[in-house]
Order: sequence, then C-alpha cells, then structure tokens
Amino acid sequence: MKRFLPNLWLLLALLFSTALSAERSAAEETPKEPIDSEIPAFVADAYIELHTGPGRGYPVFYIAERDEKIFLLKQRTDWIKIRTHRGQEGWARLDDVAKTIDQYGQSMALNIPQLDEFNNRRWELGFMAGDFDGTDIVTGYAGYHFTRNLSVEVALSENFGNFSSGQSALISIVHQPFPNWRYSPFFTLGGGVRKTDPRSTLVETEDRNDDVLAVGAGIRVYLGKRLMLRAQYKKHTVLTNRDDDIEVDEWKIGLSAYF
Amino acid sequence: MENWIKRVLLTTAAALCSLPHSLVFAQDVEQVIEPGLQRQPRQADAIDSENFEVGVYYGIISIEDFSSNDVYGVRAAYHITEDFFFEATYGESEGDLTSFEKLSGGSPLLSDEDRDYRYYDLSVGWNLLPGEVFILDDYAFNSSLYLIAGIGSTEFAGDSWFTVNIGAGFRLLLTDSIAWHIDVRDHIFDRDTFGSDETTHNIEINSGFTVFF
Repeated sequence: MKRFLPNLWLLLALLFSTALSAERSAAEETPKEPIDSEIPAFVADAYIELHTGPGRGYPVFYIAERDEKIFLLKQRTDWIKIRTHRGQEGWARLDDVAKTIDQYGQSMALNIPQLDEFNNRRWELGFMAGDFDGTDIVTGYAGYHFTRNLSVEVALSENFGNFSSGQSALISIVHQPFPNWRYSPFFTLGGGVRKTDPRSTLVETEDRNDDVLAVGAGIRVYLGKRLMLRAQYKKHTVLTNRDDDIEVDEWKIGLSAYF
Repeated sequence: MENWIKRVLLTTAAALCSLPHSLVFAQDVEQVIEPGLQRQPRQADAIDSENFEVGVYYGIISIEDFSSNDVYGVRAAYHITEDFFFEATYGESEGDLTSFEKLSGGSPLLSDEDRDYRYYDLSVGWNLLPGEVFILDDYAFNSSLYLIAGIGSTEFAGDSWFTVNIGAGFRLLLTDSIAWHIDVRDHIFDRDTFGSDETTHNIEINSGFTVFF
C-alpha cells in the first residue's frame, strides 16, 4: 500500500504537467484553416455567445457576430465547441448553433440530429432495480431501436436472495406501439440464460444453468432532455432440467437515457 | 446589288425568326443549370460528439470488519446532459484479517478466495457545482463537484450482496478530453456472514483519470 502512493502521485504530477503543456501550446497556435473534422458555418442570427465551458454557468467571453465564419469542433451534451476565424475557442449552445448556416446557405439545424433526438433516438442505456420473486434484483441494459416501434435489448441482471443468488443474460424484442406518447407503453418478449448459485452458508449444492423465456410489459415515461423513467413487469419461465419449470414474477423500475 | 439587298433582308429575317427561339432556349438553359446546384446536406453525425468517458482509478476501501485495503477499478460514464450522467464502475480489493482473527490467533474465518472483494455499481450522477479552477496566472480548468448514487452488487465472503452506493466526486478537466477524478463512495449492503443480518458501510476513496470520446 505504502509503496503505491508515491507512484500514484508521480503519475498524477506527470499527467498534470503534460496537460499544462498541452494547454499552453493550444493557446499559442491559433490555426485559421479548418481540419477535416471541423465544420465551417456562418452566424445567421444577430450573434452567438461563446462560453468558457460546456455549461450554462460558464462566463461568456466572446460574441461572434452575424455573418462571422466559425468552425464547429465537437459536441458535449447540448454544447458545441466553436472556433472563430480569429482563433478564439469556446462553447455555444446547440440551440444557438442550430441558427447558423452552412457554406451553402442552408440552416445548420438540418444537420444536427440532436435537435430532434426524440424522433431520431437509436440507442437506449439504462439500469433498473426491483423485485425478482421476493429477492432484490439489479439490471443494466442497452437497446437499439431499429424502427420507431421496434427495438432489440440486451439485459444483464443479478438477483440476491436468502437462499440463492443468480445472474441472467436476456435478449428481447421490445414493441412500443405509441413511440410519441410521453407515457409510452411497451411489450417485450425474449429469452436467455440464467445461472443460479445457492448461498455459501447453505449446504454445498451445485450451481445451475438454465434457459429462460420472458414475456412482459411496461411503460417508459419521458422526463425530458434524453432521460426516461422506465417501469416494467416480466414473467420469467425458467426451463429447468427437473420435472417442473419455474415461473417467476419480476417487477422493476429504473432510469434510462436515449441518444 | 440586288443580291446584296436580298442577302441582308434574308439574314435579318432569319435573325428575327431565330431570336424568340434563342430566347426560349436561353431560358431553358437557365432552368437546366439551376437545379444543377445540388445542395448536399452534411452527414448528420459529422460533428464529433464526446459524451462517453472511460478510465481507471486507484484508492483505498475500508471493508467493514476486514480493515482497509487498496482498491483499483475501471469506470465508464455517459453524459446525458450538462447536469446528469450515468456511470458504471467495477472494482476489486481484498479483505484483510478481522481484529478477532488477529487477536485470537485461531484459524481464519474466511478462505483466501472468499476474501476477494469485487463490486460493480450502476449509478446516476448530478453535476451539482460546475465551475472553473484557476492555477497560477495562466491556467483555468473546467471542473465539477458531483453527487452520485446507484445500485449494484458486491461479491465478498463467498456470496453476492445487493449494494447501494452514495457518494460525491470532483472532476477536473485537464483538457477537453482528459479528466482527473477524486471520488468518495459509501457502498452499503446487508451481510449475514457472521450469522445475523447486519448493515455494513464500506467507504472508498479513490482517484483516477478518464478520457472522453
């Protein structure tokens, strides 16, 4: 332990100094010509405010005027990093950048899918907690929407019981009949595998691996700004190699983001 | 002479006749050219978005009853808005001997394998205090103090436990893409390793670096 700490501080100091020198060189050179990944645009509104950071509280340090040429460098959440033709770099709101025009005179808004992200959503990431047959369950999942109504989801779960814990991996098809509703119901059907580990405090029993089928329904509630609340019920059928299959009810609630 | 006049008249007539045609033709040409200005909208994803963050960390975790030990882990985050982000972490540590084991000198309560402490967390963070940090005369770095809470699992003493984590952290952006973190996190779970259920608090302090992409 004690050996590690000096090394850690050394590494920290090293990274810090490289960052400082990088910052300095960036300040010294002010390239005027765009490189490939930069998108030229012209301010079409009266002006655009450049903030020192990608957040509403960062101070405005420069104002780009109408018809001024700017370059769009990168995006973080709802902010776009901009370099002006004079070399100043700062962050402008996505909504403001949407009011600029490109070199063909067309509105930039057409090129920023994030403005209509609700309709263009493709990926969904989230996590949920809940009850799986009387035990606590934790789930992380990722989904891909290949149409407005249909998506495919992969979910990894772990549940923690007094007698056994378990892990499962499920792949599901999710159908959302009304994708534009704020409270949007969905139906899901899927299958996967489940591993059950009996608790170590119990008599030595073997871990089991079983196939699982799951059918369920739930609701997504759009909270705004790419954030959703999600609640769902699933009925799992665990296909054991014993005489009877086991049916398990699962209730979960969680948060997810789409992008 | 007569030939010359005839030629002039004919040429004039021909010119007059062809004039409207050429005007029409000119209009046609203009129409043909104009739609030629095909405006190609730029690819929708042309702006490079950097909302994902991955990195490693190293620190100390106090495992209740099993003393403090070093912990190392990986972290991945997705920044949803300027205010909120999701974070997934995975860390590993090892429980030391309990005070009882040290004092009694008897056989250890747990096998070496069961002393391995592994956890993962799925959390949501809130950038409560975003701001700037000034160092000396020349440098200003963006930073944020965040609160974070989530759920996950801890594997320790041969079993897995449902774990809630709460904490706070500080993120300093050394460049637009490299960040330095200091994080304090309490991992709370109920454990019945010693018979009855008891709530344990396992407090971790760590520091690490992340890269945005």
